[in-house]
Amino acid sequence: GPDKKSWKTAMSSFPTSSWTWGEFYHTGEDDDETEDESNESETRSSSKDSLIFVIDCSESMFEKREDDSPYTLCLRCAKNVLSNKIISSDRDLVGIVFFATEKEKNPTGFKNVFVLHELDSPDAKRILELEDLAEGDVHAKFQVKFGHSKEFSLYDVLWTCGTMFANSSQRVGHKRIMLFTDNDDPHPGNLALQRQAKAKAKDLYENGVEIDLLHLNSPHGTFDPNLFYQYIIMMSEDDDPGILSNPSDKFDELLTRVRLKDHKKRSLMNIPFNLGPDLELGIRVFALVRSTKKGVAAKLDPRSNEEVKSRTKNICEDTGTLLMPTDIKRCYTYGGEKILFEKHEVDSMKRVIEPGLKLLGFKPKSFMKRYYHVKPAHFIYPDETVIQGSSKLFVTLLKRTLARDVIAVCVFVPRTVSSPRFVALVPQAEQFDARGVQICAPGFHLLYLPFADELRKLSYSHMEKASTDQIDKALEVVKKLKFKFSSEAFENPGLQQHYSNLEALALERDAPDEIVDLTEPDVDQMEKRAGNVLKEFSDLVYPHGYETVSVGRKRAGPSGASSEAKKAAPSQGDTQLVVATVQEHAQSGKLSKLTVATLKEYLKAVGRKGTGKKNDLIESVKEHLGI
Amino acid sequence: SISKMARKGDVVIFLLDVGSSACSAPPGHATFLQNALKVINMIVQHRMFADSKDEIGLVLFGTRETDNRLADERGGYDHVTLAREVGPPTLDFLKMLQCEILPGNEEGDFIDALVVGMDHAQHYMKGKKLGDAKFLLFTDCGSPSSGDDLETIRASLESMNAQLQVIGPDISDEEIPNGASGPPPGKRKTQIQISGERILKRLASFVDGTFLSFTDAMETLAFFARRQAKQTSVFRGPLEVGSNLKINVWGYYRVKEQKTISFGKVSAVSQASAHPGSMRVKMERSYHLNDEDQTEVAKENLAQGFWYGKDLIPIASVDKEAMKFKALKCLKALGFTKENNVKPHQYLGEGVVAFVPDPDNRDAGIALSALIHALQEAGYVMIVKYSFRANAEPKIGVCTPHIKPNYECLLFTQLPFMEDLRLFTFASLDKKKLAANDDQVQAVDDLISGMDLTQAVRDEDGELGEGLKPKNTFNPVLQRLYQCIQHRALNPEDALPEVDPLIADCLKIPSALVAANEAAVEKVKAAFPLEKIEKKAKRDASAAAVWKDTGSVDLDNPVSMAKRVRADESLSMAGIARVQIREVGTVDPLGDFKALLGDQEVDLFDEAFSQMRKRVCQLIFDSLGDQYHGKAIECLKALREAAVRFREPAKFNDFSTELKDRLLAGRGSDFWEKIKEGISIIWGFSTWS
Repeated sequence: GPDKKSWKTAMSSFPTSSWTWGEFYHTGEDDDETEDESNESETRSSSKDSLIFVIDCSESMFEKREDDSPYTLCLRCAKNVLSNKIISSDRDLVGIVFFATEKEKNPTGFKNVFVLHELDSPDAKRILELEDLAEGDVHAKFQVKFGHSKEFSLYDVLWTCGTMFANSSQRVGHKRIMLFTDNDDPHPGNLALQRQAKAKAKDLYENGVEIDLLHLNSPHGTFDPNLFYQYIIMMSEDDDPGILSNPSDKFDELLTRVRLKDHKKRSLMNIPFNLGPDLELGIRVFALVRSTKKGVAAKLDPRSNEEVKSRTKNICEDTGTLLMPTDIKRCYTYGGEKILFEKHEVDSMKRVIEPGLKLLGFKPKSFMKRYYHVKPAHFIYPDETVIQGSSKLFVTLLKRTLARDVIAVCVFVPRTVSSPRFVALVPQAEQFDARGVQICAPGFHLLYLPFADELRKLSYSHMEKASTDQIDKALEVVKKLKFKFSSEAFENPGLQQHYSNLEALALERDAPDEIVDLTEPDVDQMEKRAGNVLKEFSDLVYPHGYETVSVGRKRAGPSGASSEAKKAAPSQGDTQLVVATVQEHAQSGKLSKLTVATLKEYLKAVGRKGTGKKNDLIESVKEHLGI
Repeated sequence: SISKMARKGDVVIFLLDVGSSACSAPPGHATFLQNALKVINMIVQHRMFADSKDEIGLVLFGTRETDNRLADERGGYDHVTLAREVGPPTLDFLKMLQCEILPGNEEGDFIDALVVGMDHAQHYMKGKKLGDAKFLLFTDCGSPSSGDDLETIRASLESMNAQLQVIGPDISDEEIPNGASGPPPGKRKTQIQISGERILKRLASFVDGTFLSFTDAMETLAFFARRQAKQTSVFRGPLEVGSNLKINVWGYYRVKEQKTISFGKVSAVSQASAHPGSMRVKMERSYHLNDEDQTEVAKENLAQGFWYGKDLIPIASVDKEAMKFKALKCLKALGFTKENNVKPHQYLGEGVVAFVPDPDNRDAGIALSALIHALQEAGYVMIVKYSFRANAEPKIGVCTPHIKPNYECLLFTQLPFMEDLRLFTFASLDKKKLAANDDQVQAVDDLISGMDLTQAVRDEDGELGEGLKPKNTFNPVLQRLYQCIQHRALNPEDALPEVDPLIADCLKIPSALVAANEAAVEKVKAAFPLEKIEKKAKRDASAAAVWKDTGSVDLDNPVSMAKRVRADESLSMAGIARVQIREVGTVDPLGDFKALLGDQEVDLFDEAFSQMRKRVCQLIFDSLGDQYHGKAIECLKALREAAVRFREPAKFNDFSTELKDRLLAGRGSDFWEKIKEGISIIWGFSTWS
């Protein structure tokens, strides 16, 4: 809910003033439950990134290469970044600057520099504008709106970016410029202009601005970054993979390169990695994969359409007193009695060891089972800021574990309030793709190991095994339907639809753009490739006339009408959901809002009699839950 | 087939020897009775935490009195007392175990006790829907037993389908290292004990029961609060491959993250009152505009909206309904891919689901079996679209074949979408200055070899085997919470107990590896220069940042921070100019405080904080009326800000609690209200302490 959000906010950026008690109440809520998870994800109000796309608009950028002109590719990249930012980090700021234009638009009045978008959070209009610029007769549109110029000064361009960062009304964390060009020698023979540009780049870097080059091949030869741009690229050592990737002129490649850089790499924490008595090195912990969720619904005042702030107060039901955080004790019902603790006692109970990562030993990698998965992994990388020399020990450990094909088992306590967990550190060697883009970073993946309680013992019914020819046929199916899986190929249809709906509302369109559900199997294609084999397989495993769509047919009965009825009632598979729903309603005292069917389903699931009127059912549920 | 019924509770009856031998031990050693109570206590406690439906009873033998139905009706069965009838475990029962089991000093026959227990169980279970009867017999065999009627007892146990577990004195005569749980050293078994044990072993063997020594029992039971979740399916439906092949499957969680227990909230105000009542805490939420008056908006007048970039888009409830994702429940194959195309470090979600064939459908079983074996042979996995119910947003995931002698299944794990991947590049670590020399490689190799977890724990036969197997690890925090809750339940006034060594030990390097680890660590330390950078460097950077109004400090990047600071000349000049200030005065406490903190040479945070604190107290408590209250609040704000910057939130929080107590105790509650309006506690922790 919204409370969680603001709690996260509080964790990620310490507000400095005017933070009222009301908000504190609000944030203090649910503190027992939300501990670990909440501070994992970066939040909308955590430090903002800002990014300026600087696009060379010389005529060569409009000459078509393999699929499109570089100018169009750049616009599509920028549009893509804006759309993605709306989903993942919608408070980040993005700006777009064209240079080598005939017209000008910038605060200083420089010639040949056109600020298309000031630094601001992305919105629907900007996305539309970029879409529009990249469609139809792109070049003609450009010439009308901006026009070409052979004259320009990179110094002016960089100066403009500097001013944009400085003038931004919002506070920014990380600042980055992405420069797109196919010209490796922008100021041939003009040493003064070259020197000015280099000096400005350095100046910007000293003020915390990183400059990255997204170079494209020119129509007349390959791009040589050593000619000039090596003096302009300004990256912190920490982010720089050390190798400049090759120029690309395909959209996917360019987009990958942009996506690698369009956000600041943030670690979740830096902690000590203990290898034994008095031996610690510094590491940083990252989350490389996390579920991106829809934004939380905001509550609005309908008259102003302004977001309202919520405040919560805790009131003592018996006395009606407003309770301070220190007036609230924690309680656990044990053997029918309320056992009370102070909040700090509960915290201290959870603190069985100091935060950090502690080595317990090594195992062959083969001991790591594929089903050891309880929560998403982390990634660790050395950190020199607290213990100097950490990187070297880290690298040696990484290389030796790789060479010996072992994993390290550790106990991991990310912060003082979190529960320790056993984890496996799985080493990963650095890898680059053909173009020199880093695809695997050097470091350890930190995989969470389940506890005994989490490995559920299931009882399985005895089942007949397949025969060799059945297996062989299945093997044919597998071979016919093989593909190279990559998560990159699958957009989340739920998220995409949500944002497409919002976009339609933002632009007051009648209907949202239809989204393509990439998770839906292409059945036609599958049948074309494997239809015959699938049929043969069916014939081999199923008796003639086997009705395959008959789950629960015994219960549902043979008629079509009953399957309709089945839909209305919660299906068998949802028992867990029903249990959770009922418990939730019971806790909030809203059992009466549930349907009789749900209550009955629940009672059945917990092994109680589910008969009588609704009130009887509710009483039964309460009795079961001890309420 | 898979049980669809809810689990029934068992009836567990403890048969406990309180006879004279069980109650005696040389000074300094625990008696058999004390040890037995410890184990029983643990068992009961764990049933209570596990929300077990088991019901529990207690029969004592060797008691001075005789109190049981059989004695009344038939005579005999002397010195046997039914101390607690079977019923759900309660706190009172735990309390009884702790203080009300007194040494009996008589001789009681364990056979009598078992018969009394069986009789009671039979009576209790008659007509009730309960599981099995379990008897846990605790005796040191110190009293003679008739050993009569073993055959009759065997027949009764079998007819009841009952289980019997005997926990006796340690069988071997060897000394047990931790004397507390073994027999007192030097205490030899008597003839009575030896013959008693013989009877018990026979008895146990009748019903496939077990005979455990104390040492074994303690180890087995110490961590047995295994909260076995009920087997409930999360999916029943067809696995679809293409448009025509459908295999009916059921899904169950095979691995699932378990959250530790959660605590409710109660009002200390109510608790402290004369008539505590329910002590419930009610949460009230109100909504406010972000204007000067913080105007409240009634909940029913609120609308909803979503952020789209910088725009907040209001959503009418009609639209909201229309926006909901519509999808059918499904499990569909997208295709097959090589196992190594799917990376375990990209798994999402909180567990693993096992898909097994519909248990009522033999043909589905064969079809799934064929698929599982084909995947296994080819080294392939299946990529699927999965929607566990109608209108649940679809996920993608991987199904991995899993073949065991007694079952086969597909193990499903969720995989990321494009939006879930965070693409970061990291600086290469393949640098010359990071290359290790031979000594360094050797040191790390020794560490790896010395800490081999495949040779870390001794099994029953004394062989070294794999340590830290997930199926043998327990959540230490859960164990700790159990320990504390029970302790508080029985000793409400006491502070929390020390962490049980059993809990602490499981988080340490296995003892078999400690020596090797220490030796290797010494080598690593000698080979790799590691230097801890003093906290001060970080502080200076942060301290300077206080005066530079840049908002957030880049905690990840102190170096860049320092760079920025250097760029601003006037800033460090200001620091240098004021360096001579060593005290927070009353005239300009704010200025002095800032100057102290701004010192680039020495870390004066602690000093500055404590002086400022003193000044604040002076301003509040030593002033007549409220003329300095405004100033005090300014100072408090500065303190809070500094505590945040220097990552010493606890310091500020402690102070504000102290302030609150002092103010509320005196006549300062008005002023406290004023403070509350403007200043809050610092919420959050620094991880590197």
